[in-house]
Amino acid sequence: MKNEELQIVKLMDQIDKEDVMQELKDGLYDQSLEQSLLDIQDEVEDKAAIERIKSRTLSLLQEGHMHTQQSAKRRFLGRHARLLAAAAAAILLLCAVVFTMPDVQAGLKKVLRFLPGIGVVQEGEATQETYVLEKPYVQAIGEGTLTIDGIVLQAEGSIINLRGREVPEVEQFQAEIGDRIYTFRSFMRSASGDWFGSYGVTTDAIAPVANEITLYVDGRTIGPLKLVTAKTASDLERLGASELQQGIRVTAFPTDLGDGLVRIQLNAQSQAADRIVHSYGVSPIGEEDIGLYVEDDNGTKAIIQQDNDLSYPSDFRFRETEEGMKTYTVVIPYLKVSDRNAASAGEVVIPVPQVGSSHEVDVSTEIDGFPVAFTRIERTIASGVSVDVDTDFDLAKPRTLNYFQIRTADSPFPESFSWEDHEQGGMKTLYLAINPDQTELRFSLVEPHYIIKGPWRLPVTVE
Amino acid sequence: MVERIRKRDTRALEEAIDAYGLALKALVTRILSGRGSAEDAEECVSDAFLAAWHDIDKYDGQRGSFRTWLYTIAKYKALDKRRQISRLTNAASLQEDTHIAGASAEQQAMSSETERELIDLIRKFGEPDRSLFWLRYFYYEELEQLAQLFGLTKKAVENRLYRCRVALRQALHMTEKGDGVNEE
Repeated sequence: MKNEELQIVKLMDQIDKEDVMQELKDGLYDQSLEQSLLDIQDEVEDKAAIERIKSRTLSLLQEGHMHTQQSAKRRFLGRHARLLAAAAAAILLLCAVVFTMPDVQAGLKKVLRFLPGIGVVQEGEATQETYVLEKPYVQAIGEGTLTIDGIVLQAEGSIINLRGREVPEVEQFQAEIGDRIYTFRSFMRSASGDWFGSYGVTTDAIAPVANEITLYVDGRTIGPLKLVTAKTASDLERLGASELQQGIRVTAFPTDLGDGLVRIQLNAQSQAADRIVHSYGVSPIGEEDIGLYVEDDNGTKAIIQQDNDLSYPSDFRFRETEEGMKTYTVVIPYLKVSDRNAASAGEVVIPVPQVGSSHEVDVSTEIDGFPVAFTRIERTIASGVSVDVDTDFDLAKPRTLNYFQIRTADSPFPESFSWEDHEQGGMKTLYLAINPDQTELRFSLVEPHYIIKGPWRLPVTVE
Repeated sequence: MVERIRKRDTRALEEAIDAYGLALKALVTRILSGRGSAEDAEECVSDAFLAAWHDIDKYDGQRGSFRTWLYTIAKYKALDKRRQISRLTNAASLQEDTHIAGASAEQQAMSSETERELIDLIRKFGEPDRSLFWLRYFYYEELEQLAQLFGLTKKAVENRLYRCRVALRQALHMTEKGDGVNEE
């Protein structure tokens, strides 16, 4: 859309949802047109997408049965992991940028702080005071729970993460810090029954650094909660473990939650600043058997707790294999990453056949070192084509391309399109919308998502 | 289908996903405008169906079709997701995020008076302009799809939408630079 149109769109986006629902009653527009649009849009089928949506939706509905169904739990975990994949990705991108600076690398051990429940390891001055909530605090409310997942108070700003299960969403709340009341408001929330919110102070005022905080949430007083000084690199060196593989250093930070439960938060530092880690394999990466696992010194695998307490794809819990067993190894066979600024060297040009016909094509390109070959194009309707592609997907390789986005020269954003994967993974067929009078496809490949082979083996000690 | 969902028949939900899943995914993908992955879009659609399942008692057939209700839920799910991704992608530091937080929340609010005025103005557009306008700017429909839907040329669709925008700008005292409009 043109900028002038986007201005209108932004205005329309601000209309309240409930008001829209109300206005529809009075025939705001011709709703029968939607069916006609459906008829047009349904010409391009994507059964794989429908099945994925259906599988995810139904598995979430079966939440009540998931305590005994391992595979279902994995899907549930995956949903929560994906909910905040973008969040974690952005934070990790920030970390990646920080960590790749030479002077930061040199002084890395002196300035890192682990922020539990926030999903990030933060770089800062050695003298900086940072107080954090060491372990999540869970408040039962009726049939549900409100979890204070993380609190960080520091001179540069404060952040509090909340999660709710079967309790109303919290838009904002008050916190008493150092005899003053501050209002915190959500600036990032995902919700669908269960919800997660990350909150910051609403005014320009910076909440003071203190070792105690009391929250006032929807008429409930929570606390005072004791905060502790954030662990620094020297603490983490003793508790955490890291391994560098293929330019990505992954570190695991354990927190003993008590009752035989251990929380692990993972952090990735990439030598490539634009590389984002989307999955550590806590949720399945394609095939079930390539996911993350935890084993004790005897090689016994720990049960990964896949309840709804997860916030980040880098965050999971496991149950100790036996009482007193305190040393484990977190094994990450693969990472799923993307490179948001990578693009193919040039445009791909593929002639569009007549409606009802297809032809072989021999168009090759590469993106970020991954070869991509387009082999066939078929036009079943005037407004859409399918294009077969070979990305040589192979999990045995050090890196293998999972999928990519495409972009045309006249758009700053990637194009919307659907695709079908091979059973073993990797793109098989792209489904692209075209203009009826279009004679060729012309696009660039951008933002490759790929899988990097490890393993990263991270021994951790639970204390 | 609605009644069966009310009775917690998951098969009916599956049928709804079969019937509307792709359209909702297309809508969500348009709204995300390249932000996020295909997984994000599918997750959004899944969340919309879950919300519909949980909130089915809020659905009032008098207000509109079930399909429209689903579209509206999906639209706002997608907006939530887009804001979330945008803010986080633009995050420079925890501190900046905190400052952005308050500002964004304020900037996204539109007064009820302006909203009322906006909706009243749209209502005053004749058909097919009103539907064209709504489908284009509320549902982000492509011009080509609209042209096909209304049996118009793309140019004709553009002209009609342009006239609507001009009328709206004049009525709301907007300039093309965005004066009077809260930017996201």
